[in-house]
Amino acid sequence: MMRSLWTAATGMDAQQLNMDVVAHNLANANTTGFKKSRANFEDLMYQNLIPPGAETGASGTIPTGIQIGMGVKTASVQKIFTQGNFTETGNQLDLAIEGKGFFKVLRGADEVYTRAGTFKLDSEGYLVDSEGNRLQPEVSIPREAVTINVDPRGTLSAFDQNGTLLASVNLTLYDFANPAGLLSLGKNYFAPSEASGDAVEGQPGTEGFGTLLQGFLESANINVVEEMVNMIAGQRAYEANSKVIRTADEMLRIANSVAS
Amino acid sequence: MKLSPYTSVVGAIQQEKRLDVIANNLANAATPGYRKVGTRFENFMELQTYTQSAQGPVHRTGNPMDVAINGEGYFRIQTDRGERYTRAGNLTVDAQGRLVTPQGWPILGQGGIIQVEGSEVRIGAEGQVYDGENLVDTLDVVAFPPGVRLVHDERNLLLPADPNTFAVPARNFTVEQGALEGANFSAVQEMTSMIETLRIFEACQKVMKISYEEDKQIINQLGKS
Repeated sequence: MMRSLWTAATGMDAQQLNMDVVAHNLANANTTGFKKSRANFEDLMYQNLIPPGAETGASGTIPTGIQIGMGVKTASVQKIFTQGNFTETGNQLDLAIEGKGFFKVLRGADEVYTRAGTFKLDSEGYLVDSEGNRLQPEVSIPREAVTINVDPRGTLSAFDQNGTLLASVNLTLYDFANPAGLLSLGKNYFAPSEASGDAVEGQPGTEGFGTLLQGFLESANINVVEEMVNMIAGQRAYEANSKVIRTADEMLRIANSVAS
Repeated sequence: MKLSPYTSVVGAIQQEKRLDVIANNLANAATPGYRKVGTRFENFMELQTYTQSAQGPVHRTGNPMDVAINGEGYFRIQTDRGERYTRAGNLTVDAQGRLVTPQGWPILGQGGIIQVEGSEVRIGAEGQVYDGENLVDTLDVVAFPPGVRLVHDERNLLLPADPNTFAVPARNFTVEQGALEGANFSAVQEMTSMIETLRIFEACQKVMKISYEEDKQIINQLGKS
């Protein structure tokens, strides 16, 4: 049967996945700390019907032969950890990371990582994220604290209403050799994998780590226009591949009508 | 004179193969650095394919790990089957801190595998790789002497058709960080070729049919007399 039918099917498949990725990015346009994904494609194997350099009877050697590719496949869907924009919230427990790094929280028994810095206090006065999971290492804020100040280097200071310093603690960030290799767990959480390497601990503002910005949140790092353009390009490529299927079908029809 | 119906059969088969090649090009519309496979006919009916090396469109992605070559040349990639070449610059850093392709194969600099500590990677116009402020290595962008034909290996990789050819340092190029090169074919051209392919296929079928009709008539008429 005709190869082109299957080749075009791989193309349609790839564009469908591309669309799924774009849809996921667009759906999260307003998710704090969201990192966009991108599908990376690669060509499938080639059939060398006549290998390059093969000898022909009459005219010597064929310089390139006949190579027919079998289509496309997805190499990976990659998270892209570029910086998102900052949105000012004025909330003193909202923290944005400017640069590299993740917050670590304890989710059940697992340590997971996130860049969404929407922190709150739980009933015992510990700093928790919007899911109620405690920031690691745990930070507890005294009950009498009124003002909380976080400086870019991660020093959190709590003051009472008279401006007396009640407590001071250093917040810690974590980073990975290859953040793109982190496992997405949903809800803005990431878990380390073999591809990402192990978490490296560091103070905000030190070598290789970003600084903290209090009263701001990091928005999703997607660009709506760019995603729209990707969507249009994907749709047209999908259409082109469907035309190949139509053409292959037409050829088969013509071939079948030889015998009629 | 009567043309052999086999000529048109061969012609139809060649057109079918040509559609396979076009289908593969169109399937790779979103493959970074993809090089179009072109077709040509030699000795009237002999289909040949070749890899077209024209520059593809470079678009900005903003991802610092994406690099595109403007101008001539290829990145050198070390695979388990030997050295390969590519124009696809969608790189990542693996868990060991090496610069690799999405398939996990290291891209080669002038000093071999490129190792970064993982902070900000910056890539200069001549391919210099900076890890923060330190110059780590320079991407080895290579070209082939004129007349060398490249063929496709799978997974965005190319290799010279003749294994005895050697790459030389590329000269006329710039490396752009935060950008990727797309597939280097024009959709309009591929669609036009596809329609042409279909029509030639149809014409071949017509010739086949006429030739069978003729045979039928000859047999019938000779049989009567």
